Amino acid sequence: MTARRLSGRLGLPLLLAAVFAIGNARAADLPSAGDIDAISHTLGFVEGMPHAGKIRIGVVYDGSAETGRSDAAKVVDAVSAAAGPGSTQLGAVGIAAADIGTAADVDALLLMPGLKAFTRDIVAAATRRHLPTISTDPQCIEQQLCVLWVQAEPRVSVTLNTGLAEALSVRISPIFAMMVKRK
Amino acid sequence: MKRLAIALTLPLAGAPAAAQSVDYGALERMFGEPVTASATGEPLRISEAPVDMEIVTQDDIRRSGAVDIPGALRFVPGIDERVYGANHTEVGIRGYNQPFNPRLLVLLNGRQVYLDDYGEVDWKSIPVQLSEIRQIEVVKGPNSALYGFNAAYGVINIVTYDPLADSLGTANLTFGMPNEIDGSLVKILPLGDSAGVRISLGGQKVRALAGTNAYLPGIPVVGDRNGTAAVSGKVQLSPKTQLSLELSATDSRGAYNEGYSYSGVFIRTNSARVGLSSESDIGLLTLDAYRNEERYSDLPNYGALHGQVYVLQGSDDLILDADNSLRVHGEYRSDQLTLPGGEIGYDIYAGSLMWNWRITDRLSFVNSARVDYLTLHFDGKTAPLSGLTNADYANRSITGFSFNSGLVYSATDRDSIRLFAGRGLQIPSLYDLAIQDVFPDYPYGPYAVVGNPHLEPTAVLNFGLDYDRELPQINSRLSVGLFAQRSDDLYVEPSSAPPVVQQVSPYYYYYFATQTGYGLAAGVEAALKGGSKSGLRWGASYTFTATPDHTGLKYGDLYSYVDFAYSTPCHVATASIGDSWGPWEADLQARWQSAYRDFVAPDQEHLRRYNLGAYATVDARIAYRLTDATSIAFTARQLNAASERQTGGPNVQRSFLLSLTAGF
Repeated sequence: MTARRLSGRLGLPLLLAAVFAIGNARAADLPSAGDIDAISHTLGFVEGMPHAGKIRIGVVYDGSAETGRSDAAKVVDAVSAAAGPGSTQLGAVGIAAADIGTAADVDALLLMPGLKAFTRDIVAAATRRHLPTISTDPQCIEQQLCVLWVQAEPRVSVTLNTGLAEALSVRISPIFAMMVKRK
Repeated sequence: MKRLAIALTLPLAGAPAAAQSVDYGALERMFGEPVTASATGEPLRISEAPVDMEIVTQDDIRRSGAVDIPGALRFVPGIDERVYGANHTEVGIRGYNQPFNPRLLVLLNGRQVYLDDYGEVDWKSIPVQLSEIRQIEVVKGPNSALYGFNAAYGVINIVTYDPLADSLGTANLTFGMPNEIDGSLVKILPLGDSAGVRISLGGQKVRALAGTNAYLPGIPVVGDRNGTAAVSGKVQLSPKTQLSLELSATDSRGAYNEGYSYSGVFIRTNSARVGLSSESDIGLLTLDAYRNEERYSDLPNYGALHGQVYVLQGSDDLILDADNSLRVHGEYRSDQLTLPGGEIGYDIYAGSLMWNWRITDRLSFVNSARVDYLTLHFDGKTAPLSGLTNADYANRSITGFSFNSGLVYSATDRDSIRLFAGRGLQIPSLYDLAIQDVFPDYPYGPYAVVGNPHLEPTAVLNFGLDYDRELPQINSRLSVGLFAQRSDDLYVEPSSAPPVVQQVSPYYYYYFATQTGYGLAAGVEAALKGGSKSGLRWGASYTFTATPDHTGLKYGDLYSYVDFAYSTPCHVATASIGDSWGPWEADLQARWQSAYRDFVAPDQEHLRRYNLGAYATVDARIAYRLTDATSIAFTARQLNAASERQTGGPNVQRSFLLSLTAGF
């Protein structure tokens, strides 16, 4: 078998593997500006959000991860610079997942990737304060971590975990719920 | 900054979305595309709607330079327009257009503004200003499973800015050269955090069309003008309940082509509406009630026809589970019309069910079905020798079944395919069912125009296949669609039907509303639309429509002014280009259509076929932003021809408009 024929046979699997790897890398990426914009709009359909002033977002990260704190700091900066739904503004504060039980008062939690180990703590904190948990990490829905998975690219897509929303007593606009994917 | 920001007409975002009504603005900002509830009753992204649909946005309306709704629709693929008068334009979808076209259901925020008297739309009697329209939703094909009778060929729903969710204030003054003036004022007033009112006023005085031909002996001069006023309010009664109220009034007059002749037509309408929507454990409950009143005349006394419509409808939108949602709808409707010979009316009881099944993340299947039950009543005297008695009306009922099904498949993030089928029902107008107009002293011999209570609704069966593809390389979207349609039990109104000569002295010519057979329609539409981030935008479309029919009507035999087979131009092409830079905004739109057939009436006894050749229309607009709150625009309509024959009516003249707009 010549090298050319070999590459021809392996080409498609290699390409798929590369695409898969890029996909996974994208999954672990920080939220883009588009993602944050979509998250901001999504908050407009969560009941109980402030109608004026600042909506406070807790950016939850794994403090034990190498770049956890610094990545979260970048997201906090990006979120804090974003406009909220309607006439509101967004404000953000970083919260190490290990400290979430004693974290400052916020209106919603934005979960960074890689928080599976803290599922129990995060869900407990969110349940106690009826906080919506939002993430751009595609794993979060399956991990029962986030109520809303938001993705801006290639087109805006929102997935609602109806069971977790109910468990956390987080209410979503029924009209919005009709329009998004539900799990 | 290159993009022209017209702050004066662009509503600002209000508070986060109220939960019980569709906040079109917030949802559009969320998903990056228009949202519609006109397809199934449920809110949907336009890319996921299981019908063939176009949305004309406020940006499209502004850039068109239009001063009325038909003007804003003129360049939409699949729309067929006939400008019969300065105040009279007929809009059709995929053929079957005619004077007083009954085959298009038009709604304003879901309230019917289609007039049930003759079965028509008087665009100047719609109480809305262009600047308060968020979007115009055009559904091509039947949608009776949602809207019932009369949504057989197409539906246009005009959606305005929300008095609770949006913020808007704009005043506009437009001068047409020569002799045209148009003014409008729209303001949304917030009343605290939980209530808002939208006030809308507008008026127009337009120049009558000129250039009559030999077959138009006398077009009445009535001073074409119109005015509308509306107030609409919304209150958040509790976090889960919202109340809405609307009142409106309109007054319009103009030279209208009534089919067999031109008349000076005077129309006054008013409406009142109340709505309630509330979240509950059994879904999102909506209750809507309204009353429309209309006075129509071809004399300036506004009373020859007096119509009233009462509608009460309720629905429940329910999410069953992750993949299924349901919409249950019930409706009661009462229509009454006083006309020569008596008072005709009907009651309709209807129920419908819509089921949205998301089979996978990329495949959804939506099914709707509806049953309408109609009972007719008539209080008056039937025409002598017509063979009709009041029992013919008292015993008449119609049960109609309609459905819509749509399969939407997002093959990739850039490709989507839609397959849909629908059955719609077109009910004869009240006039067609019941007019009893006798003219014993007519100089050419006594005659009568008689409605027919035994008419069956036209049943329209439609199939369609659409393919949409995003083309990021050229920032465009390509849409290609095929459709095929069959209309059974077509009918024509009495004045368009062959006469029945009664061999009884005196010899009466009887014109009965008549069932005429069936018609077919098939076609293809292709459209490309795109724009760059720098502000450049473009579009092009081509539509082919064939409408063979099997009606048995002898077209051109001096009786019928409809000709389904030849009344639709087979080929229509549109093109547009525009750009925004700094304070400037410029747009050019062109439309070409092939030949079609219309009719003219040289006198009240005869009709003549009138074959129209192919023609083109080019409109241009340029606007300049003077300040953040004011702008000036110059529009040239029909730039390519000083005078153009577009229908069997008078010519349409080139005109120029100067428009001043201020936001506040």
